[in-house]
Amino acid sequence: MESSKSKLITELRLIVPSQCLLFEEEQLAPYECDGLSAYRQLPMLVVLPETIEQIQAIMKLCSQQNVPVIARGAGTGLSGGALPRPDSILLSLAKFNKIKKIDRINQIAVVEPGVRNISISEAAKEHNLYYAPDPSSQIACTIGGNVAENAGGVHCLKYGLTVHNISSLKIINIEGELISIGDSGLDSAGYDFLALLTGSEGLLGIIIEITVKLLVIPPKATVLLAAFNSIEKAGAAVANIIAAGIIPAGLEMMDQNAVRAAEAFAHAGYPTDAQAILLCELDGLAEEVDALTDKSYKILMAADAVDIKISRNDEERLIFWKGRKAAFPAVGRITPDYYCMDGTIPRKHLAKVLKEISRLSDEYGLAVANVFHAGDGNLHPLILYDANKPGELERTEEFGGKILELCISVGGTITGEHGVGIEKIDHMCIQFSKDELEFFRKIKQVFDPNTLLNPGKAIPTLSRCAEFGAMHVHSGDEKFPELERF
Amino acid sequence: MNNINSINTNDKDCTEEFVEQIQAAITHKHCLQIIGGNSKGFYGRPDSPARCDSILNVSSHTGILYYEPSELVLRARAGTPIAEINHLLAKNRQCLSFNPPCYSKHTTLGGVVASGLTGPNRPYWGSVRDAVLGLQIINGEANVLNFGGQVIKNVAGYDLSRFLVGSLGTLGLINEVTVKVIPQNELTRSFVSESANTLDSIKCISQLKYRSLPLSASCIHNNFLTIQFSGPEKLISNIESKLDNRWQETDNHFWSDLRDHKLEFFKKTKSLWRLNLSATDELNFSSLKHYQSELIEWDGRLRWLTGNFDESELRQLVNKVQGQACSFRNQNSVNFVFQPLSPEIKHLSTQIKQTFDPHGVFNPNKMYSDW
Repeated sequence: MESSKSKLITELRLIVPSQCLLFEEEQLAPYECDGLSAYRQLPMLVVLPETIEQIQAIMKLCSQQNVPVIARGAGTGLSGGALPRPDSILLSLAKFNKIKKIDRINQIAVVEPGVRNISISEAAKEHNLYYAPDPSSQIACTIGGNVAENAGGVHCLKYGLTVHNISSLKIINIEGELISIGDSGLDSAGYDFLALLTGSEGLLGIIIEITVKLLVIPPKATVLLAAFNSIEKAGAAVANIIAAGIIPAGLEMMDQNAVRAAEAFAHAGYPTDAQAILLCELDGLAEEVDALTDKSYKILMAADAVDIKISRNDEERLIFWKGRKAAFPAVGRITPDYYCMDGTIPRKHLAKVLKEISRLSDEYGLAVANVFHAGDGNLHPLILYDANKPGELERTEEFGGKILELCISVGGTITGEHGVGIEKIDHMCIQFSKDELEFFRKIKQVFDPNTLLNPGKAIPTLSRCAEFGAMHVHSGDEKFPELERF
Repeated sequence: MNNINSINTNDKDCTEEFVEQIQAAITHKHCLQIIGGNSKGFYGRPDSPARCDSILNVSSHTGILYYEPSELVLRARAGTPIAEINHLLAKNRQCLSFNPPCYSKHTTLGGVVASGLTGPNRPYWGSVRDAVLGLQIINGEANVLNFGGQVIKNVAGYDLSRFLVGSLGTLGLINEVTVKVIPQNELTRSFVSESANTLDSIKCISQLKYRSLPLSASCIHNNFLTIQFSGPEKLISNIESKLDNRWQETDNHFWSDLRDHKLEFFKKTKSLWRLNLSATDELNFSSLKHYQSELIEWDGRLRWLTGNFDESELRQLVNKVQGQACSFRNQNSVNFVFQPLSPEIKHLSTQIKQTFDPHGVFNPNKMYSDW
């Protein structure tokens, strides 16, 4: 290994300047994990290329020498998608951080993969535009990583996922070829490789340029904060809002455990005696928002809300959101460890799934705080545990697995927005049949016949199906604790 | 089955028959032409049907299998007519976001997904592909495979369900489709105004968008700009107060006529081209010999051209701006129906075809002559 490493370093020095190549252990340490910090592994070396030509040359070299390549953006992912391997190059795209163009009439921006999600909206703001997908880590996560994970966020229900908000890509394949995907118009000729690449978790190519769609900033946004004395009633209110033809910009739910933790932490004015709260954000023209706020208010009242507050200005709106956005770190304060799940279910099964989670919580003797993107059925149950107590970690993992199985059994999925990565790779075997998994592997072969791009992630081999992993946060030492997690 | 208030007793599951037909085709080294309602039989390479030994007809494989209005999700067999789906959705004040063209009443859900053609609201409500949540397909080895699911957020596995949208049946038989649906708008109104030229119209649309007015479609043709507003009744009923007095209200039927190609522009055409470009690509189409006229949708990003002009001249114009041109109707004399692909994408596409359909059973040469 050591001699092959030295050989590789020598060859890489011909491609990139010396400051772009990291190989000493202390240099490699910051790259040993992403947001899923329970899994750590130093890469053989880290390369931070500065030009497209350098990436092409690196890929050619790795392809010739059979060296695995793992792409990394900001490393905020929660499923271990950027976890290195000891025999791999970690390819950081951090230096590709330029916004190349903002086109006001076509409402697009052309950006490099290392541009942070929030930077796009910040740059577009002077044109009264913004980029809609808003994963919780948006102040740190990069757009390249967003594309690789098909990142979501609070506003997906109305504005879609990453796949709905990008219009073309440039990638470099494992052989170092530059490939343009998508055209200047809305539809492209041939097969929809844009859909296939989005969410492919770095297994098919290295994303080096993205054209994103921009939206006009809505002139008004209002949040309703509704309290309920039962989860079932809050769940029914969500269904009634959607059935009434309202698509809120965000529709979020928290149960009592999450509300109490968030309120103690953020002082957002949440009613801590409520069994559940809903946050419903409406945006658009003032007349539109006012009409929808009235309509939503009536629906929430009819659904037996015990209290409803309506934000009177942007300051209040942001305070209402503050608790929700701080829910993860808030829960981190009340428990030594927590384990974050990311299943999605059809909304109508919300009450049933929560009841079952509650039953499992009693069975395993482990408390759960529930936060959800209720509008699109994306659950983030946080299982509270203490890794220092013998056996508790194992019980937590088993409990988490039961929750994912529950999601699948009601017609949902094992991951709504965090990706499969290394974390949920075994549960892929529950969600997909052997034929389907085999088919995924054939697709991978088309792009990467020698399995060098992010090997061992996202798509399990059948022999891998028995293993299991998860996001574990010990004593609040979450990676990037300053980031909102919601 | 949930909350479906119109169960059609003629509904039939033909999956097993399809599997048998595909297995037989593999055994006998035959090719199959997949047909739904055959409302878009003209679309794609015209020499494809002749290369097929028999037809695989999906139109009897019908039935809405799941529809829950509060979930905004509908799942149906591929042969289910769009008209039947629209009827059921309308009863619940919902609709298909992609508002697909129905060139005949026989248009099926599977055909819409296979063609990937989206109606006039595309820039605002998204494409067919944007609305697809899951597909069940039968691949070229006669395996029934499920990709995606029935929930909006789902990032497990490669997104093959969206990838298959617009693949014109060349990769597999689309057997069942799950789509996201949206609430109908309370009110829709349409207005028309004279406009000096295309660029002025595009700028005008952009200005309306920057004012956050609830635009939902636009059409530029013959120096007229037609726009559509949709939204809550309270807002739309008074929308003229936000417009200057050059706008005249016009009939909403304009949009379904546009969508289904019933406007005069589409009727008289001998040869019709469909161009995807950016809104600001000012191409000099009138330099094309035998150019007749142009109709523009999607806020300047979809252009329909008529005339018997030279294919290579048009492709050169379009290539310059990374756009694409498709010979939509009456394409017998063209070399390519769809814009030629880059060598890299062509290579990937050939291998993808081989992966889905290793025996070459489905719709040979429907998109390109290479596969």
